[in-house]
Amino acid sequence: MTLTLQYVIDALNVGGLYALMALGIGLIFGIMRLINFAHGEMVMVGGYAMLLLIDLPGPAVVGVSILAVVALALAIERLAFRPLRDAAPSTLLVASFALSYFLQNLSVLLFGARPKPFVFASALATDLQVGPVRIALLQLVSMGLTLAALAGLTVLLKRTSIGVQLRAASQDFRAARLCGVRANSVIAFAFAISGALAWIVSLIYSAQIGQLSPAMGVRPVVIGFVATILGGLGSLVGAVVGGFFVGALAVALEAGLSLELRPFKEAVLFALVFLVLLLRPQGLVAVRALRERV
Amino acid sequence: MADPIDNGDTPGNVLAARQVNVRFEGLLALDQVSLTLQPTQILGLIGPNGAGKTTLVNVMTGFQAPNEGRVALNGQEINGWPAFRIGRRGLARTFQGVRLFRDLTVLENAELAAVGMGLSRAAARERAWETLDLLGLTGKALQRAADLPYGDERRVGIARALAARPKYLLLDEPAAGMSEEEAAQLAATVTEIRRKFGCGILVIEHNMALIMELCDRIQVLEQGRSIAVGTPAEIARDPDVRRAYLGADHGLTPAPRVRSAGKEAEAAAAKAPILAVHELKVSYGAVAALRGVSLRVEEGELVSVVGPNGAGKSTLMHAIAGVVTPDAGDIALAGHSIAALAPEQRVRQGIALVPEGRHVFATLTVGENLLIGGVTRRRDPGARAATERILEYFPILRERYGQPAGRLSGGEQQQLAIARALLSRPRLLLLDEPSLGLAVRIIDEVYEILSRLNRDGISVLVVEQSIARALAAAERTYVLRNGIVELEGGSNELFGDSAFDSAYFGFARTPAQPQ
Repeated sequence: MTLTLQYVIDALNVGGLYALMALGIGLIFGIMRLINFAHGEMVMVGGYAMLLLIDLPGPAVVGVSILAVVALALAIERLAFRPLRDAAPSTLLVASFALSYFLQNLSVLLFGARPKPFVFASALATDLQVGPVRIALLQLVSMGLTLAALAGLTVLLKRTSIGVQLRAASQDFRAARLCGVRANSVIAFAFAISGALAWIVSLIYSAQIGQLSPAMGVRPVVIGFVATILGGLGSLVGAVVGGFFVGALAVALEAGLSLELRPFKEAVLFALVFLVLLLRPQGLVAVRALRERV
Repeated sequence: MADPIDNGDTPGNVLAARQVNVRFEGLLALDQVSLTLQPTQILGLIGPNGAGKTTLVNVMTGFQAPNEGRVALNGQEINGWPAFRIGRRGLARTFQGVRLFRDLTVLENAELAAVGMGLSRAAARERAWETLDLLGLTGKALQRAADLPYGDERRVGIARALAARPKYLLLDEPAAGMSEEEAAQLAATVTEIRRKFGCGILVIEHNMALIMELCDRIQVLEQGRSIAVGTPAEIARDPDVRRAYLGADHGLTPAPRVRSAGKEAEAAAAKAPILAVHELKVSYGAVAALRGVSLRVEEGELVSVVGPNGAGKSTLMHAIAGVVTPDAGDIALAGHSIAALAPEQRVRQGIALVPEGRHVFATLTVGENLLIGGVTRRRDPGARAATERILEYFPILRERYGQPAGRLSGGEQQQLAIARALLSRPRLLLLDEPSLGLAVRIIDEVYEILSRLNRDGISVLVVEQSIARALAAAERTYVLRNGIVELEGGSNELFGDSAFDSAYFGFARTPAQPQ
C-alpha cells in the first residue's frame, strides 16, 4: 500500500515534468506546425542562467532567469522562425535542429563541455515523513509547481483574450487571421509561454540531476516530443495526458522490470509507446477536427 | 429519361458499372449508380461539386471498393481486383491532380506506363515515343516533368495513360485550370485519340463548353444519384440538370429594390466604390485561377459572384481577404489600395470574410468564437452594445453561448461564422458559398439575414454555386467562369437571360476565335 502510494507520487512527479515539456512543444506545434527541438536548449539556458545568478537573493535568481529564458524564446521566434514563417514544415524542423546544436555548442564554448554541479535551493534536498510515506521535499515542490503551471496556463488560455486567440489560432490559423487575430502577436505569445514552461522544467530537472551540462535538454525534449505525439499532436490536453502517461509508464517499468532488464527500461518504454500508436495512431486525445464535406 | 440506365445483363464488350453503392460514414456517396461506356464512345460525366463523379471513377478503376454493385470490363467482373490488374486488363485513367513522376522525363513517364503493361524496355520506349508524337509532346520528351507548364503536364498525364494502350480511358478533369484555347486543343487531342485507338473515353469535366463539344453522350450525377443520360442537346434542355446546377427554382424571383434612383445614387457614383478589384491575376504554381478579374461593389450594395466549380470564386474571395497573394492587379477598399496588407490588417480596415465551409473554431465555445470575432474591436467604446445588437440577428447563438461550436448544426455554424465576421464591424462583408451543405429551409434563413444586414447598411459580396439564391438576393451579379468575368449585370436582367446560361455553362460557345 505504502509502496503503491510512493509509486503514484513518483509517477505524478516524472509525469508532471514530461507534461510540462510536452506542453511547451505542443503549444508551438499547434500554432506553427513546428516541432521545436531547440525547446530543450531553453531548459539548458534556464539552468545556466540560474548558475550565473546564484549569488543574488533567491527571488531575484528566479525572476531574472525566467526573464532570460523568455527573452531567449522570443529571440528564437523573431530571428530564426519568423523569417521562415511560410516555409515548408520540414524546413522549420531542420531549422530547429540547427538552432538546437548551435545553442548547445555555444554553451560548450562559454561554459565548457564538462557537467557542472548545481544546487539551487539545497533545502529542497531534505525528506519529509508524511505518515508512512517518505517524500522528498523536492518532489512536493516540483509537483506543486507543475500543478500551479498547469492551472495558470488553463486560466490564461480560457480567461484572457490573448489566450483564447492562441487557442483559436492553433485550431485554424487562417480563420483566426481572417477574424483579425495578429499572427505575430499570438506566435510571440506562444513562444513566451513555452519559454516560461521550459524554465520550470530547468528548475525541477536540474535539481533532480544535480548538475548542468550543455546537452542536458536533449533527453527531456525527446521524451517531451514522444509525449506530445502520444497525446495527439495539436491537442494541449493531449500533451498533458501524454506526458503523465509516459511518466507513469516509466515509473511502472522501473518498479516492474527485473534487475537484469532494467537497463533496457527505455527500450521497453518506447516499444510500448510504439504499440500504443499502432492501436491509436491519432494519439490518446484526438483533435476534434471539423467534419470535411465530401 | 425517367430511368436512363438499363439494368439488364451486362453486355459483352463494354465497361459497365451496375447499381453501385458507396457509403462514407453513413453518407451515401453513390446511390444505385449505373454507367455504360461503349468502345469508341466519348461519355461525359458531369455534376455539381460532391456529386460522386470521382468516387465512381475510383470504383471502376479499383481504387475504391463499392459497398454494393458490380463493375464489369468486357463481360468480366472486376470487382475487388487490385488497381494494377484492372490496368493491365485495358483500363487506364488520369488523375485530378495529374500525379506525374516529377523527377522523371516526359519520355520516361510515358515509358513507365508501357513497362507496367509488361513490355520490354525497348518496346516500351518505342511505344512511348509513338504516344508522345501523337500528343505533340515529342519536342519536350527529354524535359523533367516537374519543369513543364501546366497544360503540358496535363497532356503528359494523358500520354502516360495512353501508353498502356487501354481499351477504356478515364479522364478526371483533364481541362481543369486550362485556358479556353488550351481546352479547345485538348478536345481536338481527345477526339484524335478516339479515332486512332478506338478506345472508349469517359471524361469528368466542369468545363461545360468542352463537354458539350466533345461528348457523344453525357451522364449527370447529383448527390450520388444518376439524374440523366443523353446527348448533349438533350442534357442542355433537361430541367433536372438545370435545377441540379442552378439550385432549386422554387418561385424565387429577384425582390423589387427600394432604392431611390435620384440624388443618392448620384452621390454614390461620385464616391469611390467600397470595393474595387482591378485586373486581378492569381495562380497556384502553373495553374492560373484568376486571369484578370475586375469587379466593384458600391457602398450599400449586395453583389453576387456566381459560376461553376473551379471558376475561381473562392480564389477571388481569398485574394480580397488577403490569404492568397495575387501575381498582378489591385484591390482597393473605399479608394485605398489594400493589396499589400496582411489579412488581419485588412480586417482592421473593414473587410470580413465568412469562409467556405464556415471554419468555426470547433473546440472553442460559441462565446469564445464571438470573442475572437470581436478581437479587433475590444477597446472600442460600446463594443458590448454592438455585440448585443449583432446577436439580435442570431437568437440561437445566445442559447448556445457556452457550448463548443463543433456541436452546433451546420446552419447554426453558418450563423456563428457570419456573426463572428460581423463583430469586427466590417464595411464590407464577404461570404464564400454560405449555402453549401445546408438544407433549403436553413439557406432561406441565412439569406433572410443577409438581406436584413444589407438593408441595415452593410455592403455584401457573396459567392455562390446556388444561383437562384444568389440572383434573388443580389442587386448585381457577376458570372465568373474559368478565371474571367464572363458576364455582369443587374440580377433582374440576368434572370432567365439566355446569355446567362451560355456564360455559366458555356453552352453554344464556339471554340475561341483566332485573333
